Amino acid sequence: MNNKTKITILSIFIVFIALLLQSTLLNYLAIESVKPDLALIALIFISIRRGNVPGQISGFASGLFQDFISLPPPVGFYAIIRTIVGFVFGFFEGRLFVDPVIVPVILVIIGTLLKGVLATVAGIGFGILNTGFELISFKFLIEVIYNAVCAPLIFSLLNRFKSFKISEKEKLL
Amino acid sequence: MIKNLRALFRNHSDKLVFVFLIMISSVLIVNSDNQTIQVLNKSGQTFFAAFQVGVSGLSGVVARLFGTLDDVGKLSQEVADLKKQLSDYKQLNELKDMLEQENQQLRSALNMGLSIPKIFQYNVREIPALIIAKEPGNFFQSLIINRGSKDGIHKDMAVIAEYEKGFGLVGKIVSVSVISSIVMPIYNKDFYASAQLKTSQYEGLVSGLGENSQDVLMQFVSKNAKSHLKIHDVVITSGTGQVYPKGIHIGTINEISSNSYETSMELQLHPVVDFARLQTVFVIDMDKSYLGGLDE
Repeated sequence: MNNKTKITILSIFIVFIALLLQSTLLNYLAIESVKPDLALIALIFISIRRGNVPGQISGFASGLFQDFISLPPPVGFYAIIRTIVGFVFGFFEGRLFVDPVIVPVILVIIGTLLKGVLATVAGIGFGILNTGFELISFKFLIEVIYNAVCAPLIFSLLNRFKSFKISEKEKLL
Repeated sequence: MIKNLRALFRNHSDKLVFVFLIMISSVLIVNSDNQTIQVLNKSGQTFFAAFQVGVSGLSGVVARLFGTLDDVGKLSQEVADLKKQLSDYKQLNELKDMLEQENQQLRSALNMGLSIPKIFQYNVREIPALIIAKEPGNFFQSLIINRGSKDGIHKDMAVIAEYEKGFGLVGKIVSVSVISSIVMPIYNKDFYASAQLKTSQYEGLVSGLGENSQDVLMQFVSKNAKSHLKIHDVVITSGTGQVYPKGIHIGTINEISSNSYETSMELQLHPVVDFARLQTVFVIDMDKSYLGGLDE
């Protein structure tokens, strides 16, 4: 198994755990019934650290997992959103200096807003009448802030994985 | 040719993967009602639920541990209240016995054999269930319970929960896997149930207001009901449609709106069930075989 495959499998495992926590334990930490989107934060980290192929695949997998445990229809709704998020953030691989606080917060704010816009566009594009989501709402504002607050913590946690650390050789390249 | 294809794939692998994944997602969305995709969805739901049950159990232990400390104080107060209530009930019971005896004597005297009708004579099966998870995202809102097709759950069954004054409507089952089911709560925009006012029996249609509010809306209520209702009146299920049993509490009126150009009016209801601390529910099996004794 080559290194890229290992990283992709690890990425899928991480977003799976994040979604599991989101649907269970994080209900106790919800503010106004809004939970932080840990899977999205992890997806952004994976994409900017390991490029858009692992980003897209783990995004697609996490979206599909979320589709399975969300109100149907439609399966594929979250998969398409998260695949695009993984793809977009993958372009920043190796192009950003990621400090412990400021950059993670900015990236996650942009990522959450992108997710909101994509959900609205996908809802209109696929004719999904009830996305139950309002881009301009107090609830979405809470989610943006909550995600931003959690970002430095999740980034520093994921930084501890050897597979996501940038080696000296990669730095030189 | 093959060399060129290989080079194309090597140089543009990221874009090709992207196009491939977007195509799969789009096909899934467009064909979400397809049987095969439904089977895939249910399998995924079962797989995920197995992990959710484990994590939910663990979180339950932690929550109970902290809850126990908090409960000790409340329990001592409750014991004192219950002792007082028990003494009141004893007095009431004595009074009831006395009245029954008197009633019996009067009936005998009048030679009447009236029987008091039962409030509910439904013959339904109640399946207790635990809420193991809520939807991970903040877009839709759904609840996931630890009962599935192996427990006899199927789509469109009503879900209720106990509250201080009886049973309140939680929602209905919208998706079932082997070990878990997804419940659409009453405040979801796609939720509909026929309802009526408990006191005046005027009927209407209850639907969710959507994600940003847990209140529900009762529509198509006759304007004649205006003089018969007031804020905090209780709205119950009307029992038509055979999904929800009659008499389950839905909510209390917190806003009445009536426009002169409309023939009916709308009532905004606050659900009787507190969804923020909901943990146990009952799934109601209104299967036709149980409806034989339905008689009110």
